[in-house]
Amino acid sequence: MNEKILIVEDDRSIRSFMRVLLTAQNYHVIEAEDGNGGITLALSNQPDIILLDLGLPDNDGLTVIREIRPHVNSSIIVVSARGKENDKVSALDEGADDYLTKPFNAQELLARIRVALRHKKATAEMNVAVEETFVYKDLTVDFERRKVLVNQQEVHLTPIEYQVLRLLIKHQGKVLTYRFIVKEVWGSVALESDTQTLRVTMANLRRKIEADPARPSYIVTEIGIGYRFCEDPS
Amino acid sequence: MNFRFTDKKRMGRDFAISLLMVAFTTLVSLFFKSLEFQDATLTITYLMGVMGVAALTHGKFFGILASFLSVLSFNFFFTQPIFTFYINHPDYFVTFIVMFVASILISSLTTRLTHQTELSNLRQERLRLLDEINRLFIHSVSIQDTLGKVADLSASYFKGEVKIVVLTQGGPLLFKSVVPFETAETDPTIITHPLTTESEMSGSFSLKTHHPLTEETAQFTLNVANQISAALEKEALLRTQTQAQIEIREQKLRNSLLGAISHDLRTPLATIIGSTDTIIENYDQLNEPIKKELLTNIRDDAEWLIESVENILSFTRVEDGKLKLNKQMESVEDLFGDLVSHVVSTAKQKFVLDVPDELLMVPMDGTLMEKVLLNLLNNAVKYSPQESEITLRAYRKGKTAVFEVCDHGLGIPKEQHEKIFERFYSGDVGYLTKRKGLGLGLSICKAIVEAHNGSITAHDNPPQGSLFRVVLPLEGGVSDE
Repeated sequence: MNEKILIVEDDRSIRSFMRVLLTAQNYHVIEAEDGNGGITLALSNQPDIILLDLGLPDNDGLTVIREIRPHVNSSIIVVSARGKENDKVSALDEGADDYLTKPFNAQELLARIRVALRHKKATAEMNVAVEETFVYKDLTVDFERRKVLVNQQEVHLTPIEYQVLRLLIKHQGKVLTYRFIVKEVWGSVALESDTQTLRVTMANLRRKIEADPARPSYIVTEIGIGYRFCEDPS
Repeated sequence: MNFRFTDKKRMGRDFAISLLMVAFTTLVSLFFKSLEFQDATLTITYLMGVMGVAALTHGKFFGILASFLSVLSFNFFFTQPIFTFYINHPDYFVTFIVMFVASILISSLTTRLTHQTELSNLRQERLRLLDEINRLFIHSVSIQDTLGKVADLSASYFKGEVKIVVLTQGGPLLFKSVVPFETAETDPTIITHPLTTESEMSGSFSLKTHHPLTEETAQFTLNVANQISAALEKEALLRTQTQAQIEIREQKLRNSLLGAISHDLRTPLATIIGSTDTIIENYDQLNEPIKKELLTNIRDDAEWLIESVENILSFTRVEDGKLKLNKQMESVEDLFGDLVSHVVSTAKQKFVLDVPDELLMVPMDGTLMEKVLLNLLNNAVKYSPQESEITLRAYRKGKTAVFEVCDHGLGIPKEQHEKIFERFYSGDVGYLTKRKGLGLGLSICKAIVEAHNGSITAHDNPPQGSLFRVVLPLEGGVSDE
């Protein structure tokens, strides 16, 4: 039952702190100290989660993601230094599932791992039975009838708003980059003007479903990166 | 007016002047004759006519022509037999010769005098132009402006098209000024001179004109070009000096910054090393609560270190001007939503959000502006009592978006309202440094906001507390990338 976690990180101290922390939580930990080692271990071990540092000595993290993404089903959590938003966005666009910003604390790391594991399990189950109704807090979305209810009151969304909402719910808990959302909903390569349209759409959507748009309880913004549909931490 | 034209128009005019003058002199002489004046008076009258022609016409030719015509008309009108070119008396022949030679002498003297006057006028004009150019450079505010004026000035002086090209580090600058040609009778002449300086600035001065230029005038364009070169040289030198001064100032700033940083880094490091040593060496003697307390201190100090390092990094990036803004239209709600999720969870104060109902989209670098507001909010959290209210507000005011962070904390003395943003310029240890936690925060905030062409100010928040206000322009657009 022990989930396998692969740590790809070149700093010895961080690796050892992660190992101690994760082993204490009964995870099975394997480690690689560079990109190539990480690729090999990922392919041979098929870990549940890969914690990938973006600043590796040999390959950069993006290359690692590109190499392994088609062959592994793992959740990839990218670890990067603060202020490098562009790297995060690229990593997410390449197929990473989540990101952590250095420096992070133990609770944060564990929470992200739990979310990733649950998400992985949920998507595995979703492939069997597609959920027809989605309920989260006061929000209910009936996918079959294309109905959105807030506090049992029906809310009218435009087709675009509905699609954005559905996309976010489908990837609940995962940050979706502006580019990804625009590509999925508008079907085009994201242009400056498109991401602007997305921001306006999102503001309108929030006004319809959130009680207080500035304190969202459903869709949160990661400035400079994208949007994420909230998930109960557990 | 400064050229000696040889065009046909002028020749025709000069010819007419010569004829009219001789005719006029003849009339006057006829009048004198009727008054029974002596022949001597009449010849002198003719000489005066020749002098007039020489003064009014260009070149020696018309003086000689007038002399010749005068002798002929004197012969025709005043010597016996009258109204013929015959003469009765051989004396008259001598009179003619003397009169002719005198006329030619007078005319050539007059011509030379006129020419001298013209020349000295020309020199004066030229000196005035050079002087004017020099003055423009001395009072120069911007080199662009000055070179444009110099081009205008020379174009109107040379009556043609003047082009000044200057290659600078920022790329080539072109200044063009055209004085329309009256008539384009001849093919244009183009003269180009290089502008050279010791520095990296170089360029060219070129003149294109339809007016024929004398050798001398062409030579003079070189003087103008040299004058411009000299001025550019001076400008370049001045620029290097200013650059050097800026660098010295930056170096000073960096030093005072380093001083402040090392203080900010050493203090928490000392705690960390001290605490860990204590734990390692007395591991078995220390009881659990004490161990936990020491470890908590280490953790807090490490966090403080991280914050300092982040701030220092952003600060140097902002200071080096390497900080590239990635401006996008961000909605205020997106920004606030993200902010609050960062602060609210850990803070012990009550947060009030005041957002306009209308959708407010502001061009900004979202990540950086978030950093600014987060810095302000964190300060508010640090200096406010528990359970007090912290307000985060945004509203539109004309063509600007205003953000305010208000707290009911300690407040900031009025005389510090401006200083707090530039603490590290003076290296002054203000009252805030005694409580660690502010770091380099506010000076970074200021740099970021100013990079957005906005402003950040501190105010009192009566009855107690402080209010930080950030004003960003709503126009200014989004970067192209």
